[in-house]
Amino acid sequence: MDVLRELIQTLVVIVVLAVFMEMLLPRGDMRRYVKMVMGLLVIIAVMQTAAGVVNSELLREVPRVTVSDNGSPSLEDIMAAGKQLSELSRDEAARRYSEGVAGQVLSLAKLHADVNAVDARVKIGPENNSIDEITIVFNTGTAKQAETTGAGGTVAGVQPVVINVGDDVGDGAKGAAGVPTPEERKAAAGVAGAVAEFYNLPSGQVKIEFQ
Amino acid sequence: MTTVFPTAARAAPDAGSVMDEQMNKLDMGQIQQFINRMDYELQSALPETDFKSLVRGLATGDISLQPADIFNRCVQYIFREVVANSALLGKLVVLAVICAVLQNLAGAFEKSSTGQLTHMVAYLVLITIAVGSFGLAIQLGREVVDKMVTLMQALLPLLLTLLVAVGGITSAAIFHPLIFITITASGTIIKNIILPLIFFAAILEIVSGLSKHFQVSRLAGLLKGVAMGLMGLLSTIFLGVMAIQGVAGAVGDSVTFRTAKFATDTFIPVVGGVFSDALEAVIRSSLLMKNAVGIAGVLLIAMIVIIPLVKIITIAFIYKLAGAVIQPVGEEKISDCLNGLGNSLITVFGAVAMVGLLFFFALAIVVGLGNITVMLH
Repeated sequence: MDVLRELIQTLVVIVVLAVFMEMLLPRGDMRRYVKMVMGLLVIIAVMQTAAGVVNSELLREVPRVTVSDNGSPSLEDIMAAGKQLSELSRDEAARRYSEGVAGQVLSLAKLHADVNAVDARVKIGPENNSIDEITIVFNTGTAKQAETTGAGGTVAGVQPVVINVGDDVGDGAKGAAGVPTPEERKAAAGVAGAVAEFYNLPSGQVKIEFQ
Repeated sequence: MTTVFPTAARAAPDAGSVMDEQMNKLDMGQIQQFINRMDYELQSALPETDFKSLVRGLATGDISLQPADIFNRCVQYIFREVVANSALLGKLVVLAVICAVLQNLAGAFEKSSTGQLTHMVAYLVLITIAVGSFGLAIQLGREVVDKMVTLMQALLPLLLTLLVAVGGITSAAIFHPLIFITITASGTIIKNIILPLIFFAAILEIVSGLSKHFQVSRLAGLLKGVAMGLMGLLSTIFLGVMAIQGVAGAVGDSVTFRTAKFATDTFIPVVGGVFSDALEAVIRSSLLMKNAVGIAGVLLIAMIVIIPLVKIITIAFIYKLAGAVIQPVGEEKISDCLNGLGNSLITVFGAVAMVGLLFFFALAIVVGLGNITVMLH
């Protein structure tokens, strides 16, 4: 562009000079000659610029445009940031997936009337988001009680609240709440087996807990 | 219009938390710095100066742009600029009238060349004023192109990161060197080659008006033709390359995603599809954010380009008006010169608007590419 700018500057000077000379010179042949000379000067200026452009290294004039020159982040940085966001999305999806499957498991477990399933937890594996472990939590001693509520309007099976004040607090109460009966244990194992079969998992991956 | 006024692009309530989390992970510092450096005039035109809030507002629909408001603001700017440039119009008209009077009086001098010389001096003064404001308009155009390139260089890494997040890894890999090179190259070509060529053409046109016997108007036409040809070539190459590469990348990404989805659905019994569905739901919130970032970028580009464009077109209008007013006075030369300058400024307007449009298309392609990638999932 500098070459072109110089050419334009030269042309402007030549034209302005030509105009002033045209005005100042006396009428006659001299004017025609001056005009001719000025015209030749214009041609020379243009040809000189053209020759200069042809002889110069054109590639040197082309600005180098590379990504690193612009201060923009490299592809690796962009990919890393994108993958970090992608991981975030994947974690969120895994959380929703885990919640969804846990809901399904709980619904399946609740179909069994002999035990009272209260919670289900699903652990998702890192590979292909396969199910690593399912834990079903049951309440002890309340399975049938919940079912028997309602028809007669009485709430059967609700244990009386016993408040003991003293050193021997809760020995009997602890055992009653945490330890399932053999029937409950058997029913819970049956539920776990059904769930394992439903999700095509080895039976060891479905665990049961009582509370 | 659909991209600029996203009335239907609303985030679902539960997508908000995922989007906020992702937004906090993204580095928006460069764009925020760019917004902070913007003129007060431009900042006041933005609905929100905090980029994160702008993106969030666009995604949730809290910020909606009304076409009527934008139109009214543009009209306001045009009138304000016309009033601000009325002094230039006054100077041009008064000098042109002086020139016309001097030309008519030329015969009254003993030697007619004295009158001619005075007329020439007045003409040169007028040209100096006109070229001064023309140069300012060109400088304005160059600054706008520079600003747009800087904005794009800050915005594109963000968009490409989000493109990777929605699964467009191949597209981002293809686009990364290409888009930066084309944007920088087109900005450089417009700024350093096309705008100077238009300026030189305008100068030669003015010089041609000095004398009927010494014309360089053909050279001016040649330079203008080269500038126009380069603009056409540049826009064709830019859009062609971006569109073709974009589609290729999107198809490649969709194939990768579908293969992974097939593997998950098939090898995890019963609930295999649940995970892909959950993942797609989360990806859509990333997509929403990417679209909001794209719209915010388009808004910024529009803000950067509209005000200077209004200024340039107003100066062109002033030149054309001055030329039209002067013509009946009998000063054909000056009238033609001002008209030519007005036309050249309209070409500058076209060149700057073209850069804005190309960058708008670039953003639209990157944003649309993410949508196609997710759609093909």
